[in-house]
Amino acid sequence: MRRIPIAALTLLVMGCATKTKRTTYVDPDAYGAVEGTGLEARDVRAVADQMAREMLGSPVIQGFEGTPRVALLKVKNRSRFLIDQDILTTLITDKLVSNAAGKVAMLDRALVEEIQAERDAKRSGNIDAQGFKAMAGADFFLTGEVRGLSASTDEAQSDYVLIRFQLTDAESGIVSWSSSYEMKKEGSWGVMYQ
Amino acid sequence: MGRDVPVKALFLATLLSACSSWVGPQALQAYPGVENPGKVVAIDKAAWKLVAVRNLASDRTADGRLHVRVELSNQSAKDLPVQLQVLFRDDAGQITGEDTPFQMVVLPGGAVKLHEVTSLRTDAAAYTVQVKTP
Repeated sequence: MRRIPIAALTLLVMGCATKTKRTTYVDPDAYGAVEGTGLEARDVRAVADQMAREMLGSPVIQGFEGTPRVALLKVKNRSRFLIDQDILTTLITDKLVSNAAGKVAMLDRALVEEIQAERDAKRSGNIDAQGFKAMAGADFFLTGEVRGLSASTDEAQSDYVLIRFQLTDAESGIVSWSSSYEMKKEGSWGVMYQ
Repeated sequence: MGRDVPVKALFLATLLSACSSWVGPQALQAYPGVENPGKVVAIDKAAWKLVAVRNLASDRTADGRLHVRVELSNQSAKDLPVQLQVLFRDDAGQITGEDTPFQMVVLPGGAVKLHEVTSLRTDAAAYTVQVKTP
C-alpha cells in the first residue's frame, strides 16, 4: 500500500526535474526575456551601424584621395560589463565591407604574423606565388572604448554607458574623426553578462 | 438570461471592433502641412497612436548616398521609448538589402526628436522608416 504513493512521488519529482524551457529564436533587436542594464545585442548592433555610417560620411574619409585604409585596433573596455571587445569592430567591418567596398579598405591586423610567414615562405621559394605586393599600410587607425557610470541601491541598478570611436591619422597622429553613442538604463539587479 | 444576450453581444461586438481597428502597418499621422506618403509607418498600434511625423526630408550626399531626416513627435505627456528602423529601397521600390537595426530612441513627453540616417550604398533611391514600441 505504501509503495504506490512513493512511486508516484518519484515520478512527479522526475517529471519536474526534466522540465525545461523551450528555446526560441528571437529578433536581436527585440526586448528579450533576460534583460539587464548593460550592453544588449540591439545596443551593439545600433552602435556598429551608427559608427559605420558616420565614419564613412566623415569629411576626412570623403575627402581622401584614393581609397583610405583603416586598421582596426582592439576596443578598450573601461566599463563594469564583461563584453566581447571584438564584436563592435567585427560588425563595423561587416557593414563597410558589404556596403561600402571601394570607398574604404579595412586592414586585418589580427593576421599580421600569418601573413608575414606566408610572404616569407613565398619569397624563399618553399611555396609558389602568383605575384608579390607590399603589405598595405594604414592611413588611419580606428580605435574605440567603452566607458560607464553606475549607481545602485539594494534593489535597483542604473548604468550610463558611453561608447566612443575615433579615427587617428597614422602619419600625423591627429584625431580626424570621432563619435560617441550614449545610453542610460535603469532596472533591477540579477543579470550577468558573459 | 434573456436580457443577458444583447449585453453579451454588445460586449463581444465592442471587443471585436477594438481588435479589428488595427490593421497592420499604417503611415504615421503627420502634422498639418507635412506629407507622409507611407514613408514612415507604425508597425504596432501603440506607435501609431502615440507618435506623429513633424517633418520628413531626404537628399543626396556629394558621393550619391541617400540622407534621410525624420522628426518624430511624442503625442503623449510621458517619455516614450520607440524603436526605429530604416529600410533602403532602389528605383523599383525593392529593398536593396541595406537596412539599419531597430535603434532605440526615447522620445521625451510631448517633445520632438530628429532621427537622421545616411545610406552606405549609392543605389538607395527611396526608404521606409518603421516605428514600433519595444
